[in-house]
Amino acid sequence: MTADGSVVQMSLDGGDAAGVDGRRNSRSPGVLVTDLVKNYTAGGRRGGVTRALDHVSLEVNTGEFLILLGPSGCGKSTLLRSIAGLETPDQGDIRIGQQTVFDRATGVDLSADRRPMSMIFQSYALWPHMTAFENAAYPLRCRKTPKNEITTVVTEMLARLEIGHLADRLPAEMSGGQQQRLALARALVGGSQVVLFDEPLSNVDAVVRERLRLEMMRMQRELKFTAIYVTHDQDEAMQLADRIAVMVDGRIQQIATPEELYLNPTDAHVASFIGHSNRLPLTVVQSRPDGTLTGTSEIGELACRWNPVPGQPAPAPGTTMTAFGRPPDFQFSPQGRQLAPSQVNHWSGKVQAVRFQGTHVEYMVAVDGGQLRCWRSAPERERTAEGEQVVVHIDPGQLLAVNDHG
Amino acid sequence: MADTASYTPAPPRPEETARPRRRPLIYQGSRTSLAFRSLVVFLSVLVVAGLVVVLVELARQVGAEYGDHVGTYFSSVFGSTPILAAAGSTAIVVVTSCVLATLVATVLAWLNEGTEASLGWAGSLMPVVPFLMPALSLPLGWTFIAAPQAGLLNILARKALAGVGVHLSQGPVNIYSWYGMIFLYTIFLTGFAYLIMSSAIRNVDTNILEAARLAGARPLKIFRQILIPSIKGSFLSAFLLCLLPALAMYTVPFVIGPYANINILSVTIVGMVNGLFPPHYGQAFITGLMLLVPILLAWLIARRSGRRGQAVLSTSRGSMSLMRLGSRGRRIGRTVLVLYIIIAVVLPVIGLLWVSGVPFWGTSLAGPWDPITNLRLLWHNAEAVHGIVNSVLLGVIGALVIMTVAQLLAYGQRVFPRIGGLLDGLVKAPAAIASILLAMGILLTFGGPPFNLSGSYELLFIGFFLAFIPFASVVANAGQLQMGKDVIEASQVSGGSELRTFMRIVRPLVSGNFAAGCVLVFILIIGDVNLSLLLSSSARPTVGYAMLDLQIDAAFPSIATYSLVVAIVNVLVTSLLVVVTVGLRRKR
Repeated sequence: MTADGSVVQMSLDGGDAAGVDGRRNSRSPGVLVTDLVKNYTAGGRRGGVTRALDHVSLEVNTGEFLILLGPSGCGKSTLLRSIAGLETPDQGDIRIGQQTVFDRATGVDLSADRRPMSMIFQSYALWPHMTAFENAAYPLRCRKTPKNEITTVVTEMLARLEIGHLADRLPAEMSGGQQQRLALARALVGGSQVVLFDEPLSNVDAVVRERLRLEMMRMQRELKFTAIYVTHDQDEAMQLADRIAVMVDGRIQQIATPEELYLNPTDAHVASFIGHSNRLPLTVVQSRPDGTLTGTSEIGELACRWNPVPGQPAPAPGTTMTAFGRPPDFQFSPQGRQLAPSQVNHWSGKVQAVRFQGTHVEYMVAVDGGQLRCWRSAPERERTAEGEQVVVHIDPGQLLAVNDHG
Repeated sequence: MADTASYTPAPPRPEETARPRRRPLIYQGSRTSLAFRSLVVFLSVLVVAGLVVVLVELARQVGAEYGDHVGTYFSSVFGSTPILAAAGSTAIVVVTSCVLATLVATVLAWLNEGTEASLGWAGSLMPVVPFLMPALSLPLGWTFIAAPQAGLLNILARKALAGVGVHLSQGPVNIYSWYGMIFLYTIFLTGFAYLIMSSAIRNVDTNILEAARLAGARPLKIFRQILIPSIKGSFLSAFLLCLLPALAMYTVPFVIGPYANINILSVTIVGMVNGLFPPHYGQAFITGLMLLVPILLAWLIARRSGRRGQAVLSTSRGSMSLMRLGSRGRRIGRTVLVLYIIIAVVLPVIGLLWVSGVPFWGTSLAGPWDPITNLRLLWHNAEAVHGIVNSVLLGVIGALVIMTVAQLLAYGQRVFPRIGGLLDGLVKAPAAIASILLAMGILLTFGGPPFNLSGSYELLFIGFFLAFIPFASVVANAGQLQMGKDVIEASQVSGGSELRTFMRIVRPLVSGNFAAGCVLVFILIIGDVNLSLLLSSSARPTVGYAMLDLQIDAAFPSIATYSLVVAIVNVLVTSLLVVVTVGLRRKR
């Protein structure tokens, strides 16, 4: 359910569809969450009630890799833990596959050990007194799988994750990356069709994280399990996700493919959370049904686009909105040189700082009433120096005005 | 403006007017999980019901004793000058010694846990060594050392002073005094405070200390200005932890009080039950209420500060690097630590050793020293020997049973998160009741019909169980808290039932904590006097009961020998308990 209360349609075709490959040819939901509410009461009777989940509805397709993205405290981990059976919601219901695992209305609350899913924790939660083999074999032992079958399956899974030679080691004797693989092996060995990930890569360094992300994607593609993955790292989300659900204040603000979220965020929260942006608050002067509008901002007049929503009126004059422009979309040149035929969205300014970022060079340009971040690809033939006067421009089609609230 | 459509913000979500009628959630776990939950519920009910029954019976007896005149008796107790004087003395001794113990423990913990003057594991064990001796050993040992006339230290000091022309008939030190009483309380309580302060100091962020060092501060300044403010929250916890054993302390006032003319409430209450016939249960109960008020307050404050304290500990890092003191500082630091060991352990043991080898305790040092004769005498004292056997058996069985129950109840708080806090409070409630009152209640409830358990092992076991489950529960909770919830949840989402999770994950991971808890409970049972006074008998003596009998008979050489024998037995059994409990649990 989005912030305005409407249930997000998860069709595989159309605007919301991921369409990544043929894996999601089944339309049966892997996980279906309906109208979930979870409140926490803090500090006894005098303490206030915090709503961690605010009427969240979500449908995750079989074999899909869905990312729950949002800042700390937005409710993403609570949602994941509610699906796992580690939290008890106050309202709503949850289905995993064809099985209702929680339904507040009918009083169904399947314990975590009976829910058809597995989970990887941020801390990995490996049992320090058990070897790697014993850790991985645990879910099978819980299911009373025959011993010889356990040996075969676990050995194969450990080998597949390239930690077969570490089977007799205790977790403390393994590196962070190896522990992460072991946690993954434990989650996958039981053949669960739904795997929940609670920020599993936040404890490893950047190089290992990158490699593990790729391995995780490979495993998910190979084994075709449904993945729900919590993170606050937008790069991780963009890389792994078939779709991303951006959560704010216990609600799903927008759910879409990474590309759709990047290009057409529905509100300021989402726009500021996905990718880097110049954020320009504006007051609408005039808006047109063709999706363009003009407005005034602290840096002057702005011409930008807005996304008309069927059934919703266009922004009225005087409405406050926020325009978002991505740094690579801002062009600039030394003062006096012509940038674009139009004089719309042109600002004179002075380069305040130049930072080499590897793939691009970032310029901080001070304009009258504000500051703009502009990126130019590196290496450049002629780099503009700090202190130089420049003219900055952005095409109105690249500047998107969105509502300040969802 | 023809081409400009009007804009209105999205309407707010309609209020939840028609909330669906909800049925209560039905837990749907596996059969083993349900069986496990039932066991936890049963044990919780057993503990709580036992306590409630005991308290109700106690109240009923008081009512029966006084009939309609309860109010009159209340005023007679609270208006009695000797009782009020005893309450005042108790307050002075208890508060002063708790403050001193907290301060001494802080210095010792800093030196041993945070500086290079550390004596390592020996230093960490040092404050708990007095616990390994029977409760009467410390005051008796120090009596043999510092009694004004026959104390070894005084005899030697007077001889030395006579050599320089100063002749004293007694002293110069007098353990039978206010300062002697407070001194012994302080030494005994330092071990409790040390547990809290050492943990707090270990968890201090090294960076803030190193930053002060780099800024040019010297160790003492860092201790005063950086370390103390960083751990000030723990002072209250340490003080409160000391308050419970201090209010319940019987042995020190029993040994010192009569000679120092200081009456302490714990001795007064026992006297009302044991020293009068028929026993004045009602009067003892009403007087015991005076102890109940500060204990309840301490318990409530400790719970509140404990909740706040956990968050602080959880964010701190693991180990502390030792602060450099320089060679002079290191020497001074180690001298302080060694001095404490001498005062708390060596001197009382010397006192006990001396008296254990003499035919009678007196001012002469000239006689023969023959501990074997006293040992033989003790061997023929059936009550003393049975006391050791009974206490060891009850201690070992009690430690294993009580700690197992405590671990199950601690896990139960996770299983039933909504009532976990209440369960925790109820399990720890016996700690808020003066153990003498608890013993009275148990005796009145189970001693007579229909149970008729008076003088039985079962009665002693019930007493130890209800009195020491709160201590075991504190240890078990700390262990499970340290373990973290992720490892348990990982088992649940892997398909592990609650029984399997407890047996395969929780139990092995808390084995060290279980062993520590067993040792604590064993030491509490062996060292107990308060419960033994009322619940044991000459037919079923315990160490505490036998020692008090020897003390009443003024059989000092026997009691000194007995103390040493019990201390050796304690060390052997606790070592064995640690080896067995850790060893068994490590075996996969």
